[in-house]
Amino acid sequence: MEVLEGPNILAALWSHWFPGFPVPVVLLTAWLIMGFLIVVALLAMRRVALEPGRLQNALETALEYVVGLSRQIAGPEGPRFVPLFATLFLFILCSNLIGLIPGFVSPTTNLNINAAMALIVAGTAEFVHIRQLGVAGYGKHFCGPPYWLAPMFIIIRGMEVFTRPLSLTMRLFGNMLAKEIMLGVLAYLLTLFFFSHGIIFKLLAIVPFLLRPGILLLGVLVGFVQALVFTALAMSYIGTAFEKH
Amino acid sequence: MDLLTASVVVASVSMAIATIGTGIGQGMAVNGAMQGISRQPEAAGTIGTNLIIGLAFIESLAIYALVVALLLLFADPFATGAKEQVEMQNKVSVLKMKVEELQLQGQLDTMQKSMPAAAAIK
Repeated sequence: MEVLEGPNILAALWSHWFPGFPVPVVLLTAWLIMGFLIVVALLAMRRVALEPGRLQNALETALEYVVGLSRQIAGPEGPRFVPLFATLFLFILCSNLIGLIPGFVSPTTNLNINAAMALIVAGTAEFVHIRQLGVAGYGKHFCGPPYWLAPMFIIIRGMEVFTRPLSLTMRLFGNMLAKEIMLGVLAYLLTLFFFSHGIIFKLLAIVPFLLRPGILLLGVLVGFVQALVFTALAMSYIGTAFEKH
Repeated sequence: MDLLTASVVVASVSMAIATIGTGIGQGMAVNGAMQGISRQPEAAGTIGTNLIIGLAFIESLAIYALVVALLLLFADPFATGAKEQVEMQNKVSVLKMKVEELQLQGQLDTMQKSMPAAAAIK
């Protein structure tokens, strides 16, 4: 989407420091978020106390929330995969929220980053399923309980395997891109105040002026809910491996 | 209607149609969840989590329509040819107008040479 790629401070800094080695803006933003999360985690872990400080308290609250959610959705085996779930949740939350700061682009508005995360989740789910049932048991599960319906079950389960990462990718991508396009269109309508002629058209600019802060607030909510939904769906996909068949 | 106009119209119409069904489905899901919570308030946490997952599944239907609409608007594989065609047509029409201007100028020159009275036209 070349529509969204305006002048960006990260891209300018990168091209100043490393000329001749171009990197996409979304990847730079993703690296920035990864570095931020690593630094925050190291700062919180530097002095672990029984009475937690403010930073440790905030991180412990987030982690306990994810652990409780994984136990609720993925069953008693869920907390084993909390490193994956918590990483996904924090990364998606930060990358959704960074798009609301002017001058930054959400990495989740790029299809490739979403597809990478969705493929990690789907691959983990299938790997855990195979390790849980064994290769023969997985094949038996793939062909369904009644053996005469095996052709239909192979098609259905194969479609399930492919549509899971597809829907995970498209959901995050569509939500975030729609939000960013809406903000961009409203900003464009706001600039029409300076370029339009006639008092009526100048007065019409008050609509985007009032609407844009509301959409920004909605963006915070949507970013949180989408991070939660991605994590919860990852939990439910991995949790199906531990169900009794 | 050319291909570009058709893409814009179909993008908006597809989003509108997809929103109808998704809205009805999400309304029914929230209806059931609210009734369940009001009958059994202590189950609100479990119902809320499952509600959000269910809403995410229903919502993805509208998101598919949104992705198709965005493809039609920004990355239409069929419309790139149409865009080039429109640009070429614009160039050709500009060239035609230039040729016409030159022809008319020549006619005016010959008229001004033959009739001195027409020299006032400039």
